[in-house]
Amino acid sequence: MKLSLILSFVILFAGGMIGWHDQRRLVSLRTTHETLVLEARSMGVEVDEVSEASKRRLSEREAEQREEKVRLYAARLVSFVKRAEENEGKEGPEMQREMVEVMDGLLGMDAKELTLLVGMIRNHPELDEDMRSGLIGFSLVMLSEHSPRAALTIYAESGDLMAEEEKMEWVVSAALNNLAQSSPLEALDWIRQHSAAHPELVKDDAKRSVVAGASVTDPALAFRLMDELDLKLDGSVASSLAEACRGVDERGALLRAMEDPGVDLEDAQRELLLQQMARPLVREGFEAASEWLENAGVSEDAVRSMIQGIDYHQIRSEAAEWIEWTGERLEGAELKTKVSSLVGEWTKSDYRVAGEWLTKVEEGPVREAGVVGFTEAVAQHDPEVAAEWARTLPRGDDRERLAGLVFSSWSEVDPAAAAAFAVDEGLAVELPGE
Amino acid sequence: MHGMGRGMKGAIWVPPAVAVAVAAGWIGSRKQAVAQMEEEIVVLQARIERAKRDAGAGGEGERRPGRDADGRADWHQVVDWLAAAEAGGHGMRSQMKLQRFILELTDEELIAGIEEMDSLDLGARLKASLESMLIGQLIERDPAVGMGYFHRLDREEHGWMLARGFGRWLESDAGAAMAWFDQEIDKGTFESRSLDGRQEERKRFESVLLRSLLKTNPDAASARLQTMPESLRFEVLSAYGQWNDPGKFEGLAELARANLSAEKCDEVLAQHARHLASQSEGDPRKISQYLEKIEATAEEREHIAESVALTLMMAEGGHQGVLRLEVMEEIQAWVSEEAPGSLGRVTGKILGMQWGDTSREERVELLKKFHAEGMGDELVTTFFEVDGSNRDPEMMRELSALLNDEDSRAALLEAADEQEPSMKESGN
Repeated sequence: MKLSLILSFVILFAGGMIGWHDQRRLVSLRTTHETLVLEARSMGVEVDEVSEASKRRLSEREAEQREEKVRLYAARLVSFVKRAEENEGKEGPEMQREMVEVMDGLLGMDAKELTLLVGMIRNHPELDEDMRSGLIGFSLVMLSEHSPRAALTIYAESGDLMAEEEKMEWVVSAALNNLAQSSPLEALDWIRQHSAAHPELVKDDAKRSVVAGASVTDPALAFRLMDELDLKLDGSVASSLAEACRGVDERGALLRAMEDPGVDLEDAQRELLLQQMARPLVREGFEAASEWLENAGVSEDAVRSMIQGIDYHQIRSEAAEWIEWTGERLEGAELKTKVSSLVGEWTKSDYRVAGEWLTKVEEGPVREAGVVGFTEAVAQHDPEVAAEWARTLPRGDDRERLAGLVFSSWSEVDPAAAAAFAVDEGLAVELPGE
Repeated sequence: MHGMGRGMKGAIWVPPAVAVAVAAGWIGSRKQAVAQMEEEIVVLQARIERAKRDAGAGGEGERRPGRDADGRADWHQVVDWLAAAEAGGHGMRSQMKLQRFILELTDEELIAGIEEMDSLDLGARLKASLESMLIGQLIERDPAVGMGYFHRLDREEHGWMLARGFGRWLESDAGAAMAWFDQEIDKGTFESRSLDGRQEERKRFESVLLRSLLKTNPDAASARLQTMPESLRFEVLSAYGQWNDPGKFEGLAELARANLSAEKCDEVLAQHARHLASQSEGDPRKISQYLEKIEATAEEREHIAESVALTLMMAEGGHQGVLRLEVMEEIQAWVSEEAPGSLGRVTGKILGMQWGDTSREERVELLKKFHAEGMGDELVTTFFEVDGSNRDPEMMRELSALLNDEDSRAALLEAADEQEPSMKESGN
C-alpha cells in the first residue's frame, strides 16, 4: 500500500510538472491575447466573446492603461501650458510642434479619458488658479462635445467649480447647447433641476444656450422652450437663434417655424428675429446671400425686415452692391431711411469711395437717398462739398433740412459763403448784418 | 482471507490509477486550453493585420486629417472645420483640428494655399476667413514673406495681426521692414479714408515702430515723431500703452515731453498709467514704480494720481459697482505718499461717482468726515464736478458752508440757485 501511495505521488508529481509547464504557457498566452484584444478594440476590429474572468481582467487593465495614459498627458499638458505662458510672444517652431502634439492628445481622448483628465487637473499641485480653471473649462467643453451629460454632471457635483461661476459660465452654456442639440428636453430638465437649488447656475445665458441648441434641430420646439424657460425673445435671444441657425437648411427651418401656427410671436419679435437673421446671412457675402434671399422662397415682407438688419460695418467691402440691391427691394420712406443711413456710415468711413459711387448712380430714389446720407455725413467736415451735393436734390423738405445743416456748420468757418448759400437756397435763417 | 488478500492487492493499484487519470486530465485540459488560446491569438493577429493592411491601402485611417489620399491639403475639409468651429456646439473640436492642420503646414504649403484660395469654390466669407488664418500663420513664421500679402487682408478687421507681424519683421530685419513701411506711406496706403481724418492703421504701425526704435535708437524715434503732425504724434504715443511694455515707459515719457505740448504730454502719461492701473488688480504700487521710472514731476504726479484713482477703484473696489472703503483708504494712502496735493481732488472724485450700493447721502456723510479731517475745498468742489448730474440745491447750499474760499462758495451757491428753477420744472 505504501508503494502504491509513493507511486501515485510520483505520477501526480510528474503529471503536475508537465501540466504546470503548460499552465505557465497558458498564462503567458492569455496576457498576449488580452493585449491583442485591447489593440483590436482600439482599432475597431471585431473581437470574439471573451470569458467573464477575461472581461474582468481586461477591464482592469484598460482602466490602468487609461489612467496611466491620462496621467502622462496631464503632466505634459501642464508643463506645456506653463512654458507657453512663460514664453508668450516668443513661440518658436519647437513650441508649435509641441502644441500640435498636445492638441493631438486632447483630440484623441474619449469621454472616460477626458473625465479623468478634469479630475487630474483639478488636483494638480503645479497650477495656479487661473490656469486650473482655464484648463478645466477647456477640458469640460471638449468633454461636452462627446458627452454633455457627463460634463454637466461633473460641474454640478463639484463645489469648487460651482464656486467659480463667472469663469465657468461659458462651460455650462456650451455643454447645455451641446445637450440641447441632441436632447433638448433633457437640457430643459437640467435647467429645471438646478434652478431651484443653484439659481446662480441658471442665468439667461444658460437658457439662451438651450434654446439656441434646440433650434438647430427643431426650431419650433426652441420657441416652445422659451415659454418653458420664461425667456423673452429680446435682441440677445434673437441673435443666439440667428447665429445657431446660420446654415442654409437651419435658416430655412427657422423661417418656417416662425410661420408655424403653434408659434405665437408678436410682430415686433418677428421683426427683431428677421433683422438678426440678416447678420450671419450677410457675412456669407453678397453673391451667396442675395441669391438665397431671392431664391429661397422668402416672402417679400420677410426680405424687407431682414434688410433692416443690415448695417454698414458688415457690408464694408460690398457696400455698393448691397445698397443698390436694397434700393430695388424697398420703397418710399423705408428706402430713403435705410439707404441714406447705409451711405452715411459708408461716407464717414470711406468718403472718397462712397462719393465716387454716388456719382455713378442713376437718377432716382436710391441716388436721392444716397445724397441725403452723404450730405448729412459731410456737412460738418466739408460744408462746401456738402452744399454742392445738397443742390443736386430736387427742392423739397430734404433739401431744405440739409441746407440748414450745411449753413449751420459752414457759417462757423466761412460766414460769408454760408450766407450766400442761405440766400441761394432761400433759407429762413438770420444772416449777419440783418 | 484469500479473497480479501486479492482484493487488497487489487486495491493497491487504485491510487496510482486515479493519479494517472487526474494527471492525464490536468495535462490534457492545459494542452487543450493552450491550443485554443494559440488559435484565438492567430485569428486575432490575422484580423489586426488585415485591419492594418486595409488602413494602409488608402483607407481613411492612413490619411492625415485635412489632406487627400495624395497628401495634398483638402481645403473643403478644412473649410468644413472652420464652418463647424464658428457654429455652436462641437466647435472646440473643429477649431482644434483646424489649428492643428494650419500649424502642421510647411511654409511652402501655406504660400501655395494662399495663392490657391482665389480659385477655390468655397464661399466668400469662409474663404476670406481661412485666407487670413493662413496669412497670419505665415506672418508669425516669416514676417517678411507674410507681410507680402498685406494688401490681401481687410486691414480694418486684421489691423492688430498685421501690426504685430510688422513688429516681428522689425525684430528680424528692421531695415527692410522700415523701408517697406515708408514706401507704403508714400504710396498712400495708410492715408485716412474716414471723414474725421483719424489714421488708425498708421497709428498702430507707427507705435510698433516706436517700440522697436526705443530699444535700438531712441534718437531716431524722436526724429521720426518730429516728421508727423502733432495730432498723429499724440495718437502714436498714446497707442504705445497698449503694447504693454512698461520697460520702455521711461524713454517714452522723454519722447512725450519733447514732442508734445504740456497738456497733451500729461494726457499721454496719464493714459499709460491708467493702462497699468487697469492691470494692477488695484495695487497702486505698480503706478509708483511707473512714476519712479519716468521720473515724474510734481505736476505730472498730481495729474496721474487723479487720473488713475477711479481706474484703481474700478479694478478692485468697483467690482459690481460697490464702493469699498478699504480700497478707497488704500488709494488715499497712496495718493498722500505720491501726490499729497491731489488727495482732496481724488477723494472728491471717488465720492462724486455713483456707486451701486452706496446712496448719495452716505457719500455726502463720508465727504463731511474727510473734510473734517482737513482735506480742504477741492474735496467739495471736485465732488460736485463729478456728481453734477444729480445736483441738489439744498445739499449744495449746505455743503457750500464747508468751503473756505469765498469765490468757490459763491460759485456753488450760484449753481444751487440756477438749479432751483430746473428742479421746479421737473417737479422735484
